[in-house]
Amino acid sequence: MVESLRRQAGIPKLSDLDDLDGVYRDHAPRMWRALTAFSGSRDVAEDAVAEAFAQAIARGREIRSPERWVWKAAYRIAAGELKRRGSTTELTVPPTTPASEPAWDIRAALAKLSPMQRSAIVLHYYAGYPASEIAHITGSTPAAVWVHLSRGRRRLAPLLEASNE
Amino acid sequence: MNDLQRRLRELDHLDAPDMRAAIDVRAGGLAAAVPAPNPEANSGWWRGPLVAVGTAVAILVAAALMVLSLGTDRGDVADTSVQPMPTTVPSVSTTVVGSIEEWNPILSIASARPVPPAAICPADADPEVPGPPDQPRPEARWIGNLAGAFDHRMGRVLYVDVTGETWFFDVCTNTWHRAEPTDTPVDAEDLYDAAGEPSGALGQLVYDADSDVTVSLGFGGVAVYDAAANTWVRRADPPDGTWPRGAAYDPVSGLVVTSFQSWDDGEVWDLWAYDVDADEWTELGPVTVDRDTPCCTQIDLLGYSAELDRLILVTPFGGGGATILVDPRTGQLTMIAAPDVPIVDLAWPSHAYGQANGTAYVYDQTRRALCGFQAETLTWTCHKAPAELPTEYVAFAAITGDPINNRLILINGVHGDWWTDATDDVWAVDFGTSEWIQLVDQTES
Repeated sequence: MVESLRRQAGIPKLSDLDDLDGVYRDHAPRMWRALTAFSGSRDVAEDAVAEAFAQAIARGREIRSPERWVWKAAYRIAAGELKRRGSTTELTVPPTTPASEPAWDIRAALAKLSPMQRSAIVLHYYAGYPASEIAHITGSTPAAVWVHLSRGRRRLAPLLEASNE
Repeated sequence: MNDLQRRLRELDHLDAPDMRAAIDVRAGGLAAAVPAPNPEANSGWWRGPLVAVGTAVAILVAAALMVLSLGTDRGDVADTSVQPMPTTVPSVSTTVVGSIEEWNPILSIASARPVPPAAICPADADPEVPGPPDQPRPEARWIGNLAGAFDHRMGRVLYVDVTGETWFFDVCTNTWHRAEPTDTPVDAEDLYDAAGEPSGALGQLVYDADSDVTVSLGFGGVAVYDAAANTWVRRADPPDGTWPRGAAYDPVSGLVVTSFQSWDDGEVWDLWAYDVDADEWTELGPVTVDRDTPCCTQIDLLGYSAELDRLILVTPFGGGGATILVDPRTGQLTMIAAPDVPIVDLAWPSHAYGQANGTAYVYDQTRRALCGFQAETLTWTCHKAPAELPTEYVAFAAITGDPINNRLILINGVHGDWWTDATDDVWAVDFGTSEWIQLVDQTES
């Protein structure tokens, strides 16, 4: 199941990644996009990714699974920043849709979800992680992740339908 | 790839910045703060200017990460004054650990219709004879659901498999029958993940005698099954931010009691009541035992003891675990420190438990034994699965009572790599003799 999800998301096998170079090359852009969708902010995402990689460098070979470690650290740094800003509920979305802004509809719809629903949806359906891995990244349980996925999907459906009209 | 995946792929149109310079600056700052003891850790584009940092920085970083991570609020420690239990047994230590604050007295309202008497098997049926081996049967894949309940009105076991298909097991003829109702308990898309594997969206089934329906409580939502109409009807979601981990029927109030985990606020454990007729959730109160001790980091509701008039809760993970009895009328909590608390974890993957014979039963994954709570002794009595089982099961997909034949029904044994390996056999344990009886043999592969 894990490999199937990863193939769909275009992510290489964990065993193919043996250093942070590879992790950066294969994951940093996707990580940044996922965290931009999660946090609603390019800056928060960039800070979180950069900080996570910097800390991974500092830890060097202490880290046995760089990919997992960096995803987890980056997510938690972004979540911590959101919490610090008091944005633990719905994100604020500007009332108008900039035509030039890529993926605006999906980002605006995701912004209507709770942070946990948003992280579960993005990490599962965009980043390609199964519930057990998302639980590791977010510090939750796989069962809880499934509830967030289920409820997040239900909440997203009408929002995305409306954006299609 | 489904629609949602396709929509999320729009995120690929966002141009990700080159963050290597920012990483260099941050990592360089750390390196400047503390001399590096481990140069061989460096690799990649940062190899030149950067050096690895030592343990002190790692500790600081770990501390910073802990601060940044989502915290938990443990709540207050409950009163631990020792008082006698109404049915005190000398050999067992019982401690009243307090009462649930602001306990909602809704369960004291005795308004439930009585549980219908169990039917009897037809004269030409022999429930001891195994059902035909070539009969159609539910999907036996992965165990994530706990979906089994005895429907007293129909006199059959209701079961929902991982595909969401509803089945009946006839305990008189030991045969499976497709119910083919109008719907499934959860949305079809909730049944599978993005990779097409079963998600475990289904949960416990509880027969509500007062309303004569079976309630399905799972990750994918709440639904009730009316056997007379052969329909599943979706109901109100549980309180937001929670999911039901355990459930039991209260025959006094006629309500379904559930234990909830709330993750948004940390590890808070609440008891709630669900009124099927009103489609209404009512909070009963938080279970405020000391969760800082190893025994009590998780609390799961397993059943109801008719003899004691207590809800039976366990704190999983055996050795350090305990059994907690909750007086559903007053909210009084009694912790029982007794050996042989079953090792269960209803969080993930789920472990089957069931209400039968006036008490709760659960399959202990470690000892591989069936355990029942005994009201007379306030202890769990466990019977190891016999050697006659075709393989050494670590769990069952569903456990439920069979009051017609005074036995427990165990559906789909799970073994080996128990995420995926489940058989499609059915067993029973006779309450009178404690014997295991095979009711349906597994399909030959």
